Amino acid sequence: MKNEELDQLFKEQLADKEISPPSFIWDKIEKELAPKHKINWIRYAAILAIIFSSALTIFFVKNTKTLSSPEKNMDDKISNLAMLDNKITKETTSAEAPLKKTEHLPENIIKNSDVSQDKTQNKVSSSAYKVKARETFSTRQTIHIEEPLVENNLKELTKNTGHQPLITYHMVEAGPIQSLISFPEQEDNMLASLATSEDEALPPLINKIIDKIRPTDRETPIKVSKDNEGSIQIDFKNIFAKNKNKNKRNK
Amino acid sequence: MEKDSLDKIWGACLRRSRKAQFELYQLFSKKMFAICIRYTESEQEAEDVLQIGFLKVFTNCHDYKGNGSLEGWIRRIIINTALEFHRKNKYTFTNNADEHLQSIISSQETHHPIYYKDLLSLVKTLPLGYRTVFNLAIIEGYSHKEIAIMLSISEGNSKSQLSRARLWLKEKLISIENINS
Repeated sequence: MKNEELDQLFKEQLADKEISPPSFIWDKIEKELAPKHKINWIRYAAILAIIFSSALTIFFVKNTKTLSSPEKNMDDKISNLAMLDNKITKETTSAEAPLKKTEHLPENIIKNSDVSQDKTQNKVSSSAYKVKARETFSTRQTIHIEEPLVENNLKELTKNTGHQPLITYHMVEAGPIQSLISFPEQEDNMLASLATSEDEALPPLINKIIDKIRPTDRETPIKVSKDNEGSIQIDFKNIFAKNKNKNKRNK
Repeated sequence: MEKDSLDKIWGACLRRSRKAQFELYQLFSKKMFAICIRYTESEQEAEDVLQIGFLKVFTNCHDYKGNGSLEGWIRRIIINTALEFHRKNKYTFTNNADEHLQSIISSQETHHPIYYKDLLSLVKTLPLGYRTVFNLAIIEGYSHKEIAIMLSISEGNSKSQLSRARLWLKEKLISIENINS
C-alpha cells in the first residue's frame, strides 16, 4: 500500500465526519457563558441591603415606641389644656363681669401668664401658657387632674349666673423619674433578652426572603438565626467555596 | 450552509446572543465532536474538549478577523484545545494499543469492509505523538510547518513522526487483512 493510498483512505473515512455530542454539553456551555459572578455579587448585595434596612427599621420603630410615647401623651395633655383655656377666655370676655377667680396653679405658671385687660379678668394667653406648660413637663413630671365635666359645668354656670365660673386646677408635682437600672450598659443586655414574639418571627422571615432571592444556591446557604443573647446572626458557610473547588478541579 | 445566514448568526454571536450561539453550536458541534474524538483518549475527554473549545469560540469571538472560513477558525480552536489537554495531562506514549487492535480484529470477523469506526479505532491505537501528527497532517491537512508551530516541535520531527505513523497503520491494516482472509 502506497502512502498516498493510505492517506486517501483515512482522509475519506475520517475527515468531515459528524457525530452528535451528548445534549448536556450545551447546557454546560450555557451555564458557563452566563455572567455568573456578576449576578452573584448583585444577589449578595441585595441580601445585605435587605437585612440592614430591615434591622434599621426595626431598631427605629422600637426606639420611637419607647421614647416618643410619653412625649406624645404630654403633647395631648397640653393641647387639651390649651383648648380648655381658649374656651375659658371666650367665656370670660363675653361675660364681661368682674369676678373672683381662684387659681391653684403652680406659681411659675401664674407669674408667666399673660394678663391682658384686667387684673380681675385673668386672661391667660394660650401660647404663653402652652410654652410654659411644655417647660414644666420637660423639667418635671406634672400630672393634671382635671375636673370631670368641666365644660358642662362652665356652660351651666355662665348661663345661670352670668358670672365667671370658678375653675380649679389640681396639680400634683412629681420628681424626675429615677431609672431602675443603675448601669445603662447592662440595660441593653436585659432588653435584648426580652424576646418578644415579633422578634422570634424575624429570622425565619429573612430566611424565606433569602431563599426566594437565591433558590438555586443550596450548597452555599445563607441563614439568619438568633443567638443566646437575642442578637440576629448571619451564617454564610461555603459562600466562596464554589470558586475554590472549581480552581482545584481545573488544576 | 448558506453564507448569508451563517454571517447573520455569527454577527449575533458577536453581540453575545444566546440564541445565535446555540445555532452556531448546532451547526458545528457534530463535526467538531468527531474531531475531538480523534484527538482524545476517551469520549469523556472528547466532551470536555468540545465544551471548553466552544466556550473559547464564544468568549474570543472578536479574535476572528474573517481570514479563512469560520469553520476553519473554530476547528483550529477545537484542535488547539485538544492539544492543550495533551500537554496538561502529560500523556505518556504507552497505551493499550493491543487491546484496541484486538477489538478491531474481532469486529472484522464478520467481513464488513473497513469503514469509519474501524479506521477511527485504528488511528486511536497509534501512540499519541504519531496520532496527533497523523491527524493534523493527513486528515486536517496542515503543513509540517504549521504542525511544528502548533506542537512546538521541529519540522523534521513532525515529518518523521508522520512516516512512522504511516508505517504503523500499514502494519496494522495488513495484519487485520491477513486475519480476515
